[in-house]
Amino acid sequence: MSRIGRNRLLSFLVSEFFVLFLCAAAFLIFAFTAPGFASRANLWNIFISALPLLLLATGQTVVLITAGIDLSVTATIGLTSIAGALVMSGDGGWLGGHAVAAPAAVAVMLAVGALVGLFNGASVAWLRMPAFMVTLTTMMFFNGFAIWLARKTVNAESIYNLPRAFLAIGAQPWIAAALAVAATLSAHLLLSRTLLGRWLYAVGHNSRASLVSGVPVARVLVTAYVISGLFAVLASILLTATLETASPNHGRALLLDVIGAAVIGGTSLFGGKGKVLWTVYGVLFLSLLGNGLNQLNFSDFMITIIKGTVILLAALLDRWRGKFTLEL
Amino acid sequence: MRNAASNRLVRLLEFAPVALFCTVLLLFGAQSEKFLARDNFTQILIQASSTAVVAVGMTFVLLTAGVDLSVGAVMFVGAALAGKLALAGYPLLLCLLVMLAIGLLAGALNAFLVTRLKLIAFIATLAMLYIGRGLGRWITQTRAMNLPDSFLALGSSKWLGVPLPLWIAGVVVLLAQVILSKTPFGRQLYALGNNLESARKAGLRTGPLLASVYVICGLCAARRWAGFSRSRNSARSRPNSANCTNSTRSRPRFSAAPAYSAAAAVSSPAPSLAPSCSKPFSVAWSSSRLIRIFIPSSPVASSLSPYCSTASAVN
Repeated sequence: MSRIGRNRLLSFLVSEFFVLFLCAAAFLIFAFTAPGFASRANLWNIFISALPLLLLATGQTVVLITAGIDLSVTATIGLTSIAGALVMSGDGGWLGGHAVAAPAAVAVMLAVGALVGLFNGASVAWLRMPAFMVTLTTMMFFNGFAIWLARKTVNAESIYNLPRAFLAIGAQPWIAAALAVAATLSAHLLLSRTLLGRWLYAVGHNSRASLVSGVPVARVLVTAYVISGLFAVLASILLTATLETASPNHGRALLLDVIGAAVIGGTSLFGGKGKVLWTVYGVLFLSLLGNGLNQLNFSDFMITIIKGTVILLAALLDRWRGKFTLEL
Repeated sequence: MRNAASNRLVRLLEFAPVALFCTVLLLFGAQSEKFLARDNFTQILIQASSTAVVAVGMTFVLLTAGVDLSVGAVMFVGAALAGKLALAGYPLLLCLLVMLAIGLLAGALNAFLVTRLKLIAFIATLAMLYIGRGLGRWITQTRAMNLPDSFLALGSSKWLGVPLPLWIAGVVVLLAQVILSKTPFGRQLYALGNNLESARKAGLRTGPLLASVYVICGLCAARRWAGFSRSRNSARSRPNSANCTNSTRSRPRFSAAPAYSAAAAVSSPAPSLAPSCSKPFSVAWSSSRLIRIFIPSSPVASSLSPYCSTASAVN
């Protein structure tokens, strides 16, 4: 009896909820050591500030599942932030002051993000270029392009005076939360319930076999990168609206966390394996860690070091978990 | 007939990096008279020499289908520590040795994580990147260091009329080329990258082999700084929030690890993260300005840094 119970406990620990378990452990540790960590305001704060990371990591998961990688997401954020502001800003925006400025800007942002994704996807799928190189190049290019665009048009890197309708997304955290949760949920449903989702896994698992079985591999790959681009736009909207500023530098520092969160969650860099839910756990874990260490008054560099160590430990635990599952 | 044509195409493609290099040379040479001037060229070569050294190290890792994201952070830690030591009045030789030791240590640690603990190279080196970056920022307290003159003199010193950084890069590239193409060790690396499992079955000691590439990469990363920091007036660290707003002029800077993999990967038609048939020679071609030439202005240049390095050097 006790043995069965123990086995059940062990199989829970090695299940896909493992990272969630780590989150709970981190939460408990911080709740006892950092005063104010478990307060309602702080938890809400963690949730709201994790939303851009959640969106980016979800988009990244879709690409990672196809055995690709999208390094250009942060550059897409900067570019679409500037592009949107150039449409809607009261300081010389194209539609500045107009009633439809905000929706038009959002449409432009989505279009630009989709185009970046389309370019990445087309290069990977049709030109057969390695995803790492393609998205690295687009990252450099669009990063520079966004700065050039901002300097050229408004002679500054940050653009202010955005319409109130747009800023409402940031001013009312509920809107941002609903937006992010809905997007994440739809990505989850896409991957787990639709044919396209199946195809994404199939392509990532073995693109040759899927091609032979009649999967439109190239189109599926392009779709994955477009989805990643669109999720980057959503993150860009959230960041731009919350900070009430459009800047090419938004989200710059997030790139490592994005890939880190997806991989800690259990998504494989070699494709074919991953879930949006896992990524949510990964994002939760990194956010709890960052906020908790902040609450404990660690300096910025200590947080970076500890984050690195914890990523390492998580990877190690994951390794042992894999071994353990084999033995079980 | 068609086979011959495609063979010719493949052979042509192998020269793509060289062709690209020449195109860039001609294009920029036509645009500006100063570009092909001797001083500018020496400057380009000196700047590229440091990239070349790291790219050579990265080539070794890429050959085994791994990646080392931590090179930028390793350089940062090495430079920061050596800078501190130099300012504290320790002899120059000791500082340089410390730099190399840091690279060796980081490489060994990466190797341990990848080969012994069997972690994915991407994750292991990503974690090392975080740790190194934090350490470097802690050591420097994100402040600039003005290195003593004796330290700087090394960078501008020449031997037989050729600047020292160029000597270092040249020796490293040559050595790597010889190792990869002339020694059993080099051949075993290619075999391992092609197919780990069959390499193991053929009796290669894959663990030590794999470990060696990370050590080599770390060492190269450290050596890069040894060549680089001397040619600059101050080593300055910068918080990663990447505020490129304050700089309008072009300045030499650290590029990120991906850029090194890019430098290594551009040189070969094969995918960057998969085993490829790249040679250090082609790396040297591509790293001497190819990557940078496309990103000559500072905003774009410093935009590279989010991924990896937090250090930057200013004249």
